[in-house]
Amino acid sequence: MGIPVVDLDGNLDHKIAADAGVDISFSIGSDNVAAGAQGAEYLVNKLGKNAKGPVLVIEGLSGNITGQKRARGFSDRLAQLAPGLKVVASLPGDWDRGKAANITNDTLTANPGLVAIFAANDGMALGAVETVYAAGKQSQVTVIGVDGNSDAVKSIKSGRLNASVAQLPYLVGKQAVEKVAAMKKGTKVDQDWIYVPTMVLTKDIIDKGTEPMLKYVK
Amino acid sequence: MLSRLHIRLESLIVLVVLSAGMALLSPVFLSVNNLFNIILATATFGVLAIGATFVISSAGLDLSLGSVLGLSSVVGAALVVTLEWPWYFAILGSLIAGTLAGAVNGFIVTRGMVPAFIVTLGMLGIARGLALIISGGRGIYGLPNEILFLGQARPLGVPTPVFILALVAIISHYILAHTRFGHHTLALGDNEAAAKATGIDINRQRMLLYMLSGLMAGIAGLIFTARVNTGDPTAGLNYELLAITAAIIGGTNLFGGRGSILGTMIGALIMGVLQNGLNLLAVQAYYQQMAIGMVLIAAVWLDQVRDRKRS
Amino acid sequence: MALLSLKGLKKSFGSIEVLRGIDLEINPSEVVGLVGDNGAGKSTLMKSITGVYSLDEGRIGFQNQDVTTLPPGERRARGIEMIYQDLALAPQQDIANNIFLGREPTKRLWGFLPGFVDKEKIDAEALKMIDRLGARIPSIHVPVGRLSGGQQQTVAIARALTFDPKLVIMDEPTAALAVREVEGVLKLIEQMRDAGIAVILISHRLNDIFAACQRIVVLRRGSVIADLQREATDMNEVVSYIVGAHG
Repeated sequence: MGIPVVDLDGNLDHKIAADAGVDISFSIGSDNVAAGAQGAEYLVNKLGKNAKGPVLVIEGLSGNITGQKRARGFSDRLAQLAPGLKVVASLPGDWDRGKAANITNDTLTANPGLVAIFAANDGMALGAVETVYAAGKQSQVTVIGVDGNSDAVKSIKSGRLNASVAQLPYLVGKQAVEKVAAMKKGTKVDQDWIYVPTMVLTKDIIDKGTEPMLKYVK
Repeated sequence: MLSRLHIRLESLIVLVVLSAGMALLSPVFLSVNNLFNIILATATFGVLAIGATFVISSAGLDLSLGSVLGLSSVVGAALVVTLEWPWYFAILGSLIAGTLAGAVNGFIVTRGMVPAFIVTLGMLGIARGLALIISGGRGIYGLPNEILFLGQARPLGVPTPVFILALVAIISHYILAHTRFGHHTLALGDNEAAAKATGIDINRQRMLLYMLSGLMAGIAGLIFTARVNTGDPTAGLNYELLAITAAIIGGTNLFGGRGSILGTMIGALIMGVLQNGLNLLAVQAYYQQMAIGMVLIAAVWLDQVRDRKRS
Repeated sequence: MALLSLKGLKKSFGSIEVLRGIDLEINPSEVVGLVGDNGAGKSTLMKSITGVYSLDEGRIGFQNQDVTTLPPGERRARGIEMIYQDLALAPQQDIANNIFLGREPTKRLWGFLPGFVDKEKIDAEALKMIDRLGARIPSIHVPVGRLSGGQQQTVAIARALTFDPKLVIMDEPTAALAVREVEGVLKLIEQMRDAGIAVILISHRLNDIFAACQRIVVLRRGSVIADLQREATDMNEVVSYIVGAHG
């Protein structure tokens, strides 16, 4: 019927769709691998590339592709930038704050010198950071999440969560609509996958408020 | 002696063997701090499992436990963070929200004559939906220190949720094993017609049981909120399965008539020890799933072997 | 003075009339056999007396008091007991708990904790009653579901006798028993009669009825069609009443 199909957030497999006779014009969403990598970059920036110490990665639901991409993006980039920071455990938090809290406790027990926690979403990161505070280890452990949602922002502002790699869903939607409008006017879209950038939110950035991309953080 | 304490030997054996195994594999397992962490991690679904034990003992079922936990978490946080009411309203709000949800379950099961499976399955969706609506789909972050105390403090070195779990477990055990209410609950699950014939008010009994279960979900929601400093609408997702599993491993008869709070606590600890060990050893995600499934089957199989030997 | 008096009892289930106006009186120490074909209404009548069913019409008097609207627990408290055909026991609970189900005595644990079921008392009393009935059981703590049919019967009887009953209704008590066990039950009925307890015995086994009862009431299609003295009748007559072939 000539209606363009756009995949928001990259959930569809292009090959499978093509086999089924559906032509996807493009997929647009955050680059989860890059988001994980940004988390690693933030951490290395903060601790220095010669830093040493154990790091915990809290994955999403087992088998979930978004969580996998973020976790792997983080681990790979971290190994590249700061080989002294070792991922000692990569455990499934199932997107559950409570489970992340328990994982944090147990990993702190096994690795009392833990220096950082990267969680594949904000919920789990918040579960982790609250536990870090309860254990009195806040000066030692840096906690990073992904999503940039409202309670993460609150926590960052209050100085608890260190950083969150924010998705910009507003921007995803905006760009998708712009591209479709362009398609309608005849401009060809040549990319299968369009990646919308993510940005790292920290207390500094939020307090200053001058970052132009901030307006896309909803 | 064990049967007087209403504990099943098989579950205790599994717990001891599992703990010994973990202690061998991980040098930090037996540290006091870690043992408290195990109970801390068990506290949330452990309280739910207590609610499940009561209901399942009466031949009922409450599938809404996890969702009501989420609803209670959100209500408590909303009252105190969004409306800025005094801190104790987080406690009141969570407990009342949970008990009310349980009362609705109980009402429909007794008056509407709808099977508990269906009613609580419906409540599973309704409570979760309500939680999302009230919270706008996002976490309600930043509770007052008095509430954080309930989840994050360690008075005398013991995490507060451990005290809460212990208190709830002891009172619940007293009720189920040593009061008329408990006796009647078990009789109701064992042979409803007999219970009715001996003059027990079936409807009242059921109503109270579902309210009790809801109250447990409310307490669990409060513990969750306090631990993660958030009223989380997605809290407790699938926790009812953990709760029911703990009850079954602990020796509760899924069809009713037999149940023990202490037994359920052992079941919950088995699950807690297992998860803790897997975390300490940093076992990969997929292997964790397998391990959990295998231990569950082993624990229940031992139970069946014992039953078959007896009869 | 009649112990139990039934006046004009009527009960329907939906459009099906099961009790069509029952009038009956039972006296203390009387052993009454209640017979009738399937569907005659025996079971419904008994459940109406114990309070499990409520009546559409009619009045039940017990010891000169109107108990028509009282719930089962209250009627038990006044001394109306029933031993059900399926025994109505809770199989996973132990013998002692079954005997005291619904009437568990409580005390204050350590002097202050309320509502503590006095298990010691329950166990002791239950053991006494089981011994009095002459049954041999391994332990008072055995779950009832693990006992033999005869032993379970004993527990059901013990439950009915423990709280000083005035009227005991027995529904097919000998149906699943061995010969010697049947004798035991009949002897027990005699003892109950001697103790002043009235007994209503429902049975298909007319031999047992004639052995134990002085009075035989025949129920047919929801009404009492015959009320006979055992001395004045015989099995043939009773059977003809049951099948509706009499006059």
